[in-house]
Amino acid sequence: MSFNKENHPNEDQLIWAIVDEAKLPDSIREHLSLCPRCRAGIKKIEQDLNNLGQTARQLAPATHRIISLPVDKPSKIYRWPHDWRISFGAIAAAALIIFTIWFSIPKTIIIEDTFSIMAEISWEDDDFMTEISTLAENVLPKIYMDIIGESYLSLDDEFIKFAVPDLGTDSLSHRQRRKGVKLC
Amino acid sequence: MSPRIQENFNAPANGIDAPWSPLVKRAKAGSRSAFAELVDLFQDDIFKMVFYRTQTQLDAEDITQEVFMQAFRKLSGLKKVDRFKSWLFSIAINRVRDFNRKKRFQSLFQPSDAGNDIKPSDTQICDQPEAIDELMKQDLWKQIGLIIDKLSRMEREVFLLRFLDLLSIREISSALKKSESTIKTHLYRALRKFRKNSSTLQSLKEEMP
Ligand SMILES: [Zn+2]
Repeated sequence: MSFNKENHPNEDQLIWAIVDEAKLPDSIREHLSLCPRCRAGIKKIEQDLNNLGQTARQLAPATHRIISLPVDKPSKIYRWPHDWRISFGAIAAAALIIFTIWFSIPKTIIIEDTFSIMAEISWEDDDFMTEISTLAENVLPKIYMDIIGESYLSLDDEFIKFAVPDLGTDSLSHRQRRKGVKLC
Repeated sequence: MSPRIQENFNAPANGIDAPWSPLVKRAKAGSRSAFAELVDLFQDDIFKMVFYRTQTQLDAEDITQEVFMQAFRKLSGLKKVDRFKSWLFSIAINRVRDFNRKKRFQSLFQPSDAGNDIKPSDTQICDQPEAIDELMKQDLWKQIGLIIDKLSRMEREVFLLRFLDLLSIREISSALKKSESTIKTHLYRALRKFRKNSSTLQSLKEEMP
């Protein structure tokens, strides 16, 4: 096979030959495979790089530290079928415990307890509603009612008749209106 | 890529299980001893990787411990077992980034010592019998540091992972979550800069005992 002996690749192409020879055109790759001078050039760069790596390794100290790991095991891979069975078993066991507890308690106790609680709540509700009604009817506190004498008034029908006479029977205004007298 | 480099920095090809894959599978299934074997297999690589980036033995050891602890806890999240190595490196990269961020933040409140990025290891040079060797090593680190400092953040990361940590392009791509093509471009740029500055390093290396 013949190649162009004069047309040597430049240094950049030699570097590309180290990084990724496939990136170079076919003609250069062919040249590199046959030219002793270029092959030596590449070898020199590679040697420098190898030297650098070796030197760095020589210069680095050795480590004697023992790596300590957590007490627990490394986190496992999640295995669906295996874990599914475990999860199902756990759920079934939990459900069984809940049902056992539920059926072991006499239902009458629960019902009685429920009624007593309800009754207590409704009792408290009644008290509360009475308080509200009282407040709505008598906005003023009892002490004010005592001062104005309201609490001593017995507003029976007799008292009201006396205080406010019946308009339909004997009132002056009624009689005047019947006569056509206009009252101012 | 040339066969020689490929041979030196090889990694499992597509479809072929990595040699550590059975161990990873066992560790994922809950085997503590399998995980311990993985630690044995990768502790040195991770420690060195962290050391190259922190330059202090104690910090490198602490971070390595954290890396394995995190890997132990998050192993179930690893989908492809043959990617364990690059996954481990990605954890280490993140831990180092956190460490450097914290260090930069702390340095805002502390007087800096002339902004020297590359520092000797924690060992006391003068107390050691091979003090000269140690000094030369430090000089070499300084030189490596000077070359690496000329690279951008991404170029530096790709370059270190490839030639110091010896990861394959595919492993780097997986660890940095970037396409292989992007990794190659960064690597190419890094190598161009490295070529310009590597002569000093070579002469220093030749002086090494
Ligand atoms: Zn040539």
